Amino acid sequence: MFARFLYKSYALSYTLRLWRKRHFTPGGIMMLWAVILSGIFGFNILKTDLYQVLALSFSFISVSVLLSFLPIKAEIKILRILPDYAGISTELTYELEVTNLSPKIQKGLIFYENIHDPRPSFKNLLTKKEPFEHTRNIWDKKTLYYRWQWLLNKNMKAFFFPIQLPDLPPGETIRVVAVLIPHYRGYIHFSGYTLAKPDILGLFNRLLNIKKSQKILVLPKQYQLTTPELQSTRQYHPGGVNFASSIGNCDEFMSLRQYRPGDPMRNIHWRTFAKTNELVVKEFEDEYFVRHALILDTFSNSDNEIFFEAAVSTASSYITSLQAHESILDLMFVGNQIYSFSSGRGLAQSERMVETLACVEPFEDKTILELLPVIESNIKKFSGSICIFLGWEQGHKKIYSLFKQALIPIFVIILTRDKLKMEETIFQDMNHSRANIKVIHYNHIQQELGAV
Amino acid sequence: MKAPSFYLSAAVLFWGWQVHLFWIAILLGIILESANVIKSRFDFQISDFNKFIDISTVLLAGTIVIALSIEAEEAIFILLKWFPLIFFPVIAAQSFSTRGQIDIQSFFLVARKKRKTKKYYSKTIDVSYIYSLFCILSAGTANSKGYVYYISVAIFFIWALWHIRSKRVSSFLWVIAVFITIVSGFTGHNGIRMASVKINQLVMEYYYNYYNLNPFKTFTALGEITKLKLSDKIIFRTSFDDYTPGKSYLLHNASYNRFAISNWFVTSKYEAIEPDMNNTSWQINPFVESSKKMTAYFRLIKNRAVLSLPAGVVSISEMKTGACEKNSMQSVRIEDGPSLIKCVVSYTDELFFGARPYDHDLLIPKKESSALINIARELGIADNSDADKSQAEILKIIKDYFLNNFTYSLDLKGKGRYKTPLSNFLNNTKAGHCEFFATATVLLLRQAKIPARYVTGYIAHEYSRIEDQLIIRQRDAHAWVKVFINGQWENFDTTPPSFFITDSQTIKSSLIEDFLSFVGFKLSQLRHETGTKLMKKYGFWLTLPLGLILFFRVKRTNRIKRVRMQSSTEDNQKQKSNDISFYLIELELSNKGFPRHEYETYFAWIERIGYHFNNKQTKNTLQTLLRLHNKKRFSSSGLNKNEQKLLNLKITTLLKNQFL
Repeated sequence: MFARFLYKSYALSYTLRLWRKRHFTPGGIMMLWAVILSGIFGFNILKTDLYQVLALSFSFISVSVLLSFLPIKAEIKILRILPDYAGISTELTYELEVTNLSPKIQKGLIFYENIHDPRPSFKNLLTKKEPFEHTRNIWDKKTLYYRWQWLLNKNMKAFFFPIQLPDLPPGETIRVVAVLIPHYRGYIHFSGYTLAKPDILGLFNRLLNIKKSQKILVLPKQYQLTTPELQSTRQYHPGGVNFASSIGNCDEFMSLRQYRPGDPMRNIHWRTFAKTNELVVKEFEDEYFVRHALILDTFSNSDNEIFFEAAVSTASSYITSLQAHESILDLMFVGNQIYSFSSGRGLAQSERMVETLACVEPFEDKTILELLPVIESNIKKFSGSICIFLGWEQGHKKIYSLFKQALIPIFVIILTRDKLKMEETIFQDMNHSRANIKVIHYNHIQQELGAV
Repeated sequence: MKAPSFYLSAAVLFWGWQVHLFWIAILLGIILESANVIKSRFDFQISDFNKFIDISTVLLAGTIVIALSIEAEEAIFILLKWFPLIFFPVIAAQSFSTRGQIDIQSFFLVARKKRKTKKYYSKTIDVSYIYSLFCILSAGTANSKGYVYYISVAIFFIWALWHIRSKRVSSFLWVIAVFITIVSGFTGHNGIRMASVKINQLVMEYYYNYYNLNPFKTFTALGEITKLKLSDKIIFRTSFDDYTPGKSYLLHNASYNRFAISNWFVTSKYEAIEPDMNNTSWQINPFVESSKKMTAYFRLIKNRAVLSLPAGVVSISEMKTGACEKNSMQSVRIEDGPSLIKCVVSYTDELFFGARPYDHDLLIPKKESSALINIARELGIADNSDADKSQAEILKIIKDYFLNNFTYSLDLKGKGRYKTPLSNFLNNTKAGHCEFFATATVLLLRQAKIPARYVTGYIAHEYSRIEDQLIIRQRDAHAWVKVFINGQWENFDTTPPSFFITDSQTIKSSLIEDFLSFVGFKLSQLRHETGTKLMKKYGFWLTLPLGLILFFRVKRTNRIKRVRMQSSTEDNQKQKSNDISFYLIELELSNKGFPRHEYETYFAWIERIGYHFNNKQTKNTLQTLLRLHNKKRFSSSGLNKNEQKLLNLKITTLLKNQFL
């Protein structure tokens, strides 16, 4: 009951704040403060003259609001020219193509971006937990304000800034630079834009909302990481491309078969032809590319979401750095279902994989054991694996031993808050072979993995 | 938003003028304006601004302490009054900084910590308008109550709004809108004043109807004084110039003229009294020579009190209250003030200020009349129309009657088998307390056609050696009679004179409680009276530690890099004087909605936007100017004097004519 009340209050306060920000110009906000302060201090009219300021400032606000009802006679077309992607915490500039279709010059208009309603659902407010929420005091935990604020920012995904449009001559198209600063990965869904026209006194805006859906993807944070050497047994052998170790390579003889038109002449087995007078060709093992598995642990409670974010960023960074090789990368993680994406060597672009990662969400109600069957069925294809884990539990250990038993090189990254404690746990579990397990503080990814 | 030139200093001067700190304001104004003249700035970082805000916070804390010790109830207004001075370091720092703006998070301690730990996007604001607003609000604390304040505020608002008005709006429309606003604001401020009066009345009504502890109520029930008499709590203290040991004083609280259903009512309404310039002296009655003085300390209940005053009050001084009212029955009530309020009362000790008697002063309720007629007949004063007895004789008969036949008692007997408690008192018990004596006397006098009123108040008789003043306890509450004889009102008391001895024997006072009450009184006095005087005299020295903190703060800020803007600005100015750049035209056209694309050459740009110009010649002029500009920039010989003059002149003319 109380939580629902809080939710409704926060939702209402967000709506009101947005309304206030869009409707009141900076001058209007100052005037509003004049009303509030003179109302507080001037309540007792026997003591001060502040009731006079109250009357005057209130009058200014009222007249402004009334004047703002005058309609906007402006026909403006705005085209948003967005790039394909945006990066976290880096200022993104994009252009707006503003065309004045009305016969009059348009001055003093303000442009606001509109996005889909970023208010979190009641269920999310109750279930999700802000990173490090346990460190907050009881009041903050009870009121859920900071959680609300965090969820709101997460849904908004970026900071937007209003733009004061230049004077728009009739019929002219002007390009204006807009700026946004993304702070969370995923799609930013633009629902449209709002044009604000200040009233005669310049205190209150009349708004004109225009729908125009568009979206831009904010990619996960990228680190400059060194790729680990996943040594396969047949590395440095001839063949032009890197070959798979476990299956074979192109010059490994397998069998003979009848010639079929189109078979290369150099593969004809002349000795058999001499004996039998029938054309028989040699068959070789299929050619496989080096195939790496990137296994991402998505099983995290919302308390540890900060590790999860770090894990996504690390995975995304490896995708971009591993693609420099001529290899196939299989990204495996569990979302609503088990996902396994392959990219490289003409299968798919790595960008698609990063896009997928940009939208991945953590899962609380499952464990990493869900991934085991997929890994088991595909393990023969892999020549190396990078696992990004958020803990070191039964499932993680099983995956690790699976690769070890199959003699496939594996590199494990475990992201944690308490590095020493985690290293101690791993030391107890894996007394000997833990050289390829790296425990990293979630905040020091660049420092520690940049030098792997 | 940066305030226009002189706006800030004008606001400071207005504040100084209103709150009588003009010389300080002039100094502050000069400092602020000097920022426009001095061309060097300090390279303040966010941490430096934090320090200036800390200085202001320390000053604010100091002012709060001083304000609370001077006048707790007025602390908020004292604080508001000094606000411009307290936050002057912040605005001065902004004015003399290279940034010209302050990071908004510097104002919040929590935010400062957050900035250290989290990624933070800087958001800066210019506080000049905010500071000006506070100057205007602070000026309002002067409470000058004229139209000067309203007009001045309107001018400041117009000045600010003119600078931020939308480019869409014509000046004419803007002026009309502002005029309408100012007129409606003026009407509104009168409306607020009237509404406030109305609300006050409604609140009074509320108290009148529902709230029994209200000191302002206009009725009293028989038995109420008895309730008071059951407590020995000291309620106020007073001292008289003419006090001699053993002397007692009747202190009038309220007079009533209508009696019904065992309740006394008053029909007279209260009227406000205007104070003098200092808001501490109140002329209660027209000036007459008065030689007597009483000093009293009253406590306000719910921020209100009805004063207990001697007869014939002329004026009250040294009384710091928000409002003072009086009715024709000479009841004085005050509203709004510190919890302990001091009054120095000048009085004549004569009752000639009271309202002349009228019909109500002769009314006798029907329920009581039968018992009264019998007694009056018995005493031979009934219907004294023949005037066979003088008024003085009647008074003596009544006084003797009560003295010889009645006894003083605090026991309430109720109405017994009689119709009313008063009938029971007169016919049966013949014992009661002052309220019964006074009520019976008033009604008996009225029966004898002598106008009389019922009076409540206190009798001051107990001298405290420790306190060296008279202390008035709740049990000293008393009721007596005002009788109109020989053309004027006189006090007349028929309660047996020994009543306060009986009271003090019945309700014993406690030495410990008295001592605690005295300590409480002294502390309050220290806070509201002595403290104020001391603070006014020596409060300045309290600022010494603040000054030391300030000194060390400023000393630390000495490490701040000082940037001499002079050279670059001079260079710019020099350049400007000789060379008005073609870029000014580009900027102007860009603002008008014709920006040059990055890929465009200047000639292509002029060609593209050329058809928008009203005057076709403009395009040619621009092309000529551009050629000159290019020659200046790229030719080894540059421009000769005439060409440079021509370039400057044409650019200036184009900019002046707005060329579109």
